[in-house]
Amino acid sequence: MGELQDYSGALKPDLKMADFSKEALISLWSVTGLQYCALDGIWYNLIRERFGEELARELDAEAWRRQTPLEVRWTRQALNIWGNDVEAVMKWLQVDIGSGPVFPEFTCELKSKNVGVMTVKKCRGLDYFERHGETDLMINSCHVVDVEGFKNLARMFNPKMKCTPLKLPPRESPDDIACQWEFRLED
Amino acid sequence: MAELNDYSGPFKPDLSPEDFSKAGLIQWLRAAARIYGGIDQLWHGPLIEELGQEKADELQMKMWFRKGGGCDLEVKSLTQEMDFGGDDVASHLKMYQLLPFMQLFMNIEYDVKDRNYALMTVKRCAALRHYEKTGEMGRLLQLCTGLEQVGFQEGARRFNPNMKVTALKLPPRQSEDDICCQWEFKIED
Repeated sequence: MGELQDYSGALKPDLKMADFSKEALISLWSVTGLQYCALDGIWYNLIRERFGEELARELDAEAWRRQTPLEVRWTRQALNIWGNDVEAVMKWLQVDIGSGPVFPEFTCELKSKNVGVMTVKKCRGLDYFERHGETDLMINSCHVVDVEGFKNLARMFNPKMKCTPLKLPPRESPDDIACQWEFRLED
Repeated sequence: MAELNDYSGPFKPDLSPEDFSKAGLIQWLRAAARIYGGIDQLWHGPLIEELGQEKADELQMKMWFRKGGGCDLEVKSLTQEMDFGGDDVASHLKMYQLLPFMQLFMNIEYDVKDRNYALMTVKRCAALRHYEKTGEMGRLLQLCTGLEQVGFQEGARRFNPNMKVTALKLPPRQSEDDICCQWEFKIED
């Protein structure tokens, strides 16, 4: 039997992931990443509706504080990404479930052995905030949760690594980049 | 360039998912499944600390099963992305086969008798093993007899309002050789 490009055919009782083509596996990975971020948003909106912005922000920050170390560890284990330098962080960012599915266009550049820059050109999260006029939520998500999250991420790889946002929303035009982050390992 | 089975090699500035082999992609999906599987608990856990078990459980149900909630999200995104639909039991069961956590961390036997009747038997479940090890039986029961029981029924209803899901066997189990759980999917006229 040929590889499955999707699952429009009959149910296969003994289906294995290996039955799918690479393209189908990539689709499944992308959809899992989108579900991951969307589920967080659904939780956030529910708590905000019921208990207000303050508790929603508090719980969201706590959830990501607890989640980031797991996200780092499981992805590093799965793809065998080790090391404590900037290169290792850049590699991790390229394959993180919170990157590719959420950022349809982004780049990771290794400027030198100790400096790397991630540039997010398109971000589904920012598109959502802009479309719904959720400026406060955008500021909380990008300026508070992400700034803390990326700083923690850098420290998880190496206590001497610092992350600095070079550009954060809001942006002047949808043609502008969404955000840009520098990871620097200090002597 | 040869396909990557992992990303232990040097940084590739223009890396794309297509660079990975199928084995590499499945490993990648395995990490995604673990991460996705955990996010719900990361909200539910602090909510228990903040509001107590009962309120937290009620909110978790609402998050999953209200209109536009987690259940709708999973059904809509998976059926669209993997191009399947239908109102028979097999169409619905395809969804569970495509949820990466169920596919990669559980061993499930699907027995479809006809378009109106099927059995799903879970022989190995990473979540059950986890709770058996930690002894958190309260969390286990909340998950299996609470959330999942409602979840399977709600999921089925989104494919066919006449599909009824019955738990034939639920944890706890007597021995590790027992099955984890068993579910009957039946479309009633």
